[in-house]
Amino acid sequence: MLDRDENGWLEEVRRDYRGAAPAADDARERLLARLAAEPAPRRPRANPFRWLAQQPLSIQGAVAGVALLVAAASGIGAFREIDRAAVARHVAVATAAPEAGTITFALRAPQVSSVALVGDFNAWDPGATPMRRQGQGDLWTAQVALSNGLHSYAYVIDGRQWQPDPGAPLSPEAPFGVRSSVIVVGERDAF
Amino acid sequence: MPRVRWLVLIAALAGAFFAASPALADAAGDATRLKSRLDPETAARVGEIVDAAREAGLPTAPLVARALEGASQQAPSATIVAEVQKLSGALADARRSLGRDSKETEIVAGASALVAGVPADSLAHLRASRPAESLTISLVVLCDLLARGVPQPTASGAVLAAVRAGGTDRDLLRMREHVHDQIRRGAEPGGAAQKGLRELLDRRPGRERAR
Repeated sequence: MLDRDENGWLEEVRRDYRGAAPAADDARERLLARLAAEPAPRRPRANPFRWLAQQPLSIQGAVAGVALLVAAASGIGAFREIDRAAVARHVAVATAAPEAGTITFALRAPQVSSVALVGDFNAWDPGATPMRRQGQGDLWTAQVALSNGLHSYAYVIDGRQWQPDPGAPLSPEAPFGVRSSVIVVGERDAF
Repeated sequence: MPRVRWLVLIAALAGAFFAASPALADAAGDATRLKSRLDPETAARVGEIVDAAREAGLPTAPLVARALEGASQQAPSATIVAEVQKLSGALADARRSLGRDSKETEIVAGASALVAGVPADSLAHLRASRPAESLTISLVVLCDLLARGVPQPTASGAVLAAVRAGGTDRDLLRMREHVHDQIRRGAEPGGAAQKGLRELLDRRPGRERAR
């Protein structure tokens, strides 16, 4: 507790501090000049958490719950996108791909001894891209890095029989007697 | 002043060199690829067609690839040259029908469609229906329908109707798979294409409200 004298003394101190500080005549001008030379302060970023911290616990809990739901939903969506891209790029029959990269070509060809992939990406050279049999089955695969664009290709069975990809779009032309298949790389709207 | 004039001349020459060097590199690469797989006479004749196409601003990679495809299938020299010449003409026609700003993939797919008998007007109608978006997938689907035996007027009509109805590339690829599946099960190709189009139109947004 403060007694009456102490209160009076404090009041005097406060009065002194409220008054103008003793300073040289040009102090105000020098202070203004220094302030003018200072870079403008950055606009403080809005802090939504400050508003949230001021709210009751029930509102804070509700907001946290909604945020968790949104994060979970977007996370699931992202995984779906990754999964779809992976399917298009690495597993599916070559029809179209959203972006340039490694494309897996796959063909079921029972009772054959060799399958090669030929196309405009390997100068239609039957020796350039031999396909590999998966285990003891009849599935043959090859991976090729393709740039964006429209690519024509075919399979060569046992070194002599040319055939298009049964699952992919066909070219209507057969300029040399065998139709080729078509794969489109880089048309993102198709996915 | 003479020094400034020399500097301007050198800068212009350097600019011209750097602008032309990719084209020169392309030309050299094409010639090397052709010579490595074709006899000298065939390579020279195909090279002339490729050079003319390059000067006209047409894509040359499909022409070289067509020649190499013929070489791999051991086609006669005359057939290879004729096929490359035919494709070069089709590329020019496709660019004319689809517009000079068309993407290379659109021009290549359009050329395939023209060679398969699609009228140039049909390509122009497709472009008019989708002026700002890629037509590559639409044209690939059109070519695939033709290759599977769908009559040209039916195939062109189905793809044009799908595009005009706002069908996306994904819709068109789904239609292609539907038609392919129907034909594999024994359906008549023209009927399968009409059924595929109906299914696509039925799935378009707002169709339920319109019924």
